[in-house]
Amino acid sequence: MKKFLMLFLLVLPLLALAQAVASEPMPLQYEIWVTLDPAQKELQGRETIRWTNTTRDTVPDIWFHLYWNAFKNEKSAFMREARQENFAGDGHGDTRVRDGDWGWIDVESLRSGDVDLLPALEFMVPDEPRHPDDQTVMRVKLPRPLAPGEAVDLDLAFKARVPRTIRRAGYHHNGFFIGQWFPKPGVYQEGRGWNCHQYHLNSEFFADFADFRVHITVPDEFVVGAAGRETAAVRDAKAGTKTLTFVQERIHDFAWTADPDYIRIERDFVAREEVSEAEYREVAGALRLPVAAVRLPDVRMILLINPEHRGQAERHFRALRKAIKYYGLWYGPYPYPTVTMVDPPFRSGSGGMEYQTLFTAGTQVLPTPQANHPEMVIVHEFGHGYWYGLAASNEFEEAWLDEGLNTYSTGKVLAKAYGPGSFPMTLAGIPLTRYCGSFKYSDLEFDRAVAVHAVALDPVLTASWRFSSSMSYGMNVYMRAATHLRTLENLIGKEAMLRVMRTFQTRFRFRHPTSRDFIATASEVSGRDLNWFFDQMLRGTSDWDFAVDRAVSGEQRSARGVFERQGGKVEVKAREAREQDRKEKKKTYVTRVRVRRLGEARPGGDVQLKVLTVFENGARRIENWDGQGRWIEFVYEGPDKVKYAQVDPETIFLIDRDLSNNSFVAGGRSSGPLRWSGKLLFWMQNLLQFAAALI
Amino acid sequence: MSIFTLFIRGLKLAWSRRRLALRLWAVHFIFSFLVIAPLAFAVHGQLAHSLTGTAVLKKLEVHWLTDFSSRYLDAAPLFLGLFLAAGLVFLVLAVFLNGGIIGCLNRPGARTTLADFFHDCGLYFWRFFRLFLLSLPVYLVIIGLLYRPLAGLLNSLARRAATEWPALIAGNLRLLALVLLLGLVSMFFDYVKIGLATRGSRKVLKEARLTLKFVAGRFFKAWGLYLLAGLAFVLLTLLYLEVARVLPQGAPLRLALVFAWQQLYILGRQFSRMLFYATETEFVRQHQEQPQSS
Repeated sequence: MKKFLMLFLLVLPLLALAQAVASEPMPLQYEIWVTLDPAQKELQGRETIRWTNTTRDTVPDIWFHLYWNAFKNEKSAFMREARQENFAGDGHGDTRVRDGDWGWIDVESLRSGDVDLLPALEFMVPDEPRHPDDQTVMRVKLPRPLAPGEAVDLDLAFKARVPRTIRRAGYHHNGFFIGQWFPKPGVYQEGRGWNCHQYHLNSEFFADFADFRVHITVPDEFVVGAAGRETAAVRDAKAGTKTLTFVQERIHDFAWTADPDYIRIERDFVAREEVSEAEYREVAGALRLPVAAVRLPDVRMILLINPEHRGQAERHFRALRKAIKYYGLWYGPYPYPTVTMVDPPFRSGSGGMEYQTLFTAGTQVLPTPQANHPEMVIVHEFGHGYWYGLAASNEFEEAWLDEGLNTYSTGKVLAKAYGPGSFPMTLAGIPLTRYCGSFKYSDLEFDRAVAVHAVALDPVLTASWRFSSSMSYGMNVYMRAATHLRTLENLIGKEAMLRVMRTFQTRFRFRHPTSRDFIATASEVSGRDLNWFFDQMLRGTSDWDFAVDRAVSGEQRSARGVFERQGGKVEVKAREAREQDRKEKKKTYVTRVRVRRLGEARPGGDVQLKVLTVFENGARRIENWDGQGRWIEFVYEGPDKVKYAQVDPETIFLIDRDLSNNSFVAGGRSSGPLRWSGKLLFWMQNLLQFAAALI
Repeated sequence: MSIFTLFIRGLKLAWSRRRLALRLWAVHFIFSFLVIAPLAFAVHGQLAHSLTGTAVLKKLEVHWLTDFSSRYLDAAPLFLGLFLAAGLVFLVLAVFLNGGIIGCLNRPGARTTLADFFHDCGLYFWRFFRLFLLSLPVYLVIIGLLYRPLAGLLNSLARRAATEWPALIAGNLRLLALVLLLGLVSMFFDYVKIGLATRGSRKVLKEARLTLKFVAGRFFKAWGLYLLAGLAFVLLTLLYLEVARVLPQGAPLRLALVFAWQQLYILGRQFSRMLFYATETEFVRQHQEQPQSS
């Protein structure tokens, strides 16, 4: 009985998890049969969809994404945007397509019961600026409008040409990475209609949660990895193929990969081995939750790795274990039984991408040992299972909500699990860490380095395709957003921030949260009105820059001049004043500290900037300033001179454009500048020596 | 005479003129100091009254780099222009100094005065400058005719590679090919300069023709000797790096130690530059002494 009870207790979290994943009926049910023809680079597929109208609207049509048509020709929105961004070239970075390498998807039949819907199919161009020839969104008029609660069954046949790898989908040699590959309905939003954007250069994805059953047929020698769990494998010896069935409930995306060279390795994340009771208690305490609520389930980890990276398999698993552990402890248990990690084929260009329950990493044959490189990618892409995966925000419209939150979370996990990493210095692919490995940096520092240069480009909260450039998109939604979240953490405290993130994740799991939801959650959990913060950080483009303009002390001297004393006028002359000062044993100094606001951004709500002044005797004075004016001066009188003054001494506002001017040291220091001047001199001497060698 | 014997003779010759390395170091130090001065003042201006100045004493601070780039990003074209202009001036200076180096190595006595040095700098300047102008199209032709097709071939192999190793090897071969080809041209023009100095000729094209004949007749020996001198430079650099990585950082006295080690390495590089010329001079002398042995 005791054994049974123990077993029951062990299995209970798994049962609860399975129930959580499978409990609510999803608005979408997919069953897909797909065959890969590696020689022709083609997919032949059939798809049955049941879409349920879960809103109070009556819905007359269904809109679908046909993402691969972005790679069909140079008139797609994606290609045109790529060309616009690179006026001189024939394409933009990895979007360059050579003749014969185009990819596309055709819907060959579309029926609802006996009704042929194909004649009613039309391509839609919902986004501005318009790209009229884009074919990445199609609309299908239903035989009759769907009333609330009603469902429609659709049966589609499609054929797709796999592009040579572009934007992380396609083929390279024998390796295939198949993402965003099937006709996929958009998200119907009550009162607003279909949210189904075209595939843009700077956009990712948005879809409804669904239950998937996918049957993949490939040549027998291919090793396949896919979202979800493999439930069946049927071999056809005559055709030399195999059909693998994968099933997963409550996901909004299904990707798969096939390559004959993959090595498949499996390991388990065993929670009781990875997390100690003390860790559970610590996290539960910080989150103000019972310990039982933060316990983690076991997860099956599947790795598909290239033979030349075989030796790095355990490094991959170690990183994934850390990710499952800390994302699970901090933001909620990973709710699926499996996670598949793919080391993508060489030059397939499909590394570093997230899909639910499957993600791609990426490494080199000679990785830099001290750099957290494959680890960073693994932690980040797994993390998207939470931010984008479970809290399924709209990546088209509010990309910061998944990329920013996840970049912030990645930095936290890496700092906790690995500490600062070395900069991966290489020469022609060979690591030089023996001599250059001492330059270590944290994600926080790197994010800020990018963020301060992104502020003026665009607001963080901008629709993906409306950013001024791909660079602005990347800098703003990843690093600038993450730096703002670090600032928020500094403002409200680490534990409160943890609770904000946990609450947001828990509250919006299997839903589609918006920025407004995040702001409301942050304000509610922290108990502070944070609207001013998000207004400036998400919607603003103003620099944050506070500086200590000066911090000087001067000896207080006796005053000269004419004074009314004993009923008459008495003149104190310079000599007398000097004499008086000399007699004074205890000198008094007047210290003036002036702080300036150089940027346009400023604190709001109840936030005050701290100004710390430290004197030579070690005495410290802290003042508060609301930061609204352009400057403020603090004046002190005392027996000691000022040593230094510093505004925002705890570096709460990481987004500060120039942290070096946050302090002013009286008297100055030359060692630091001398060190770097010496280094500059040495580098210049070396550079000139190389030039001299050629003359 | 083997290339090892020639190398030892070159080493002895260079060592006998070791004060020359000090002079070269001093000139380079002053020139480099002038070039980096605006940047150094910018660093000083930013850090002298900041707590960041203390932080950067121990290690490279990413926050500081961010602050610096944020403060001076707009001035980047100015700095770049300054460096380019300084680079052009340096090319002329290097041509000038080459005359002094080769002249001193060819003087009969071991002791040369500063006046001798600058005399030789001036004596050979216009010849060497014309030679420098001649070397520019040669570099372009070598890169265009030899390196680019080779790199294209290696790139195409790398592009077709299904795995990473062949691409990595191709990348390294490409780099090696570039270094060797640049070295080859550099070696050829070293011999022309030595020829101009030893023969006292003023006709650069004629000397280049003679040198071509000279080097072509004994290419592998000349090339082997050049690579041996190159190896000495590589070993010197490795020694510098190995010591530099264990040198402590932080306190001002330690900074002085690091700086001294860096400058010692630069001095070593000057000596290494002399070593190339010295071994090549010995090679030329050997064939002038024993023309029948070539």
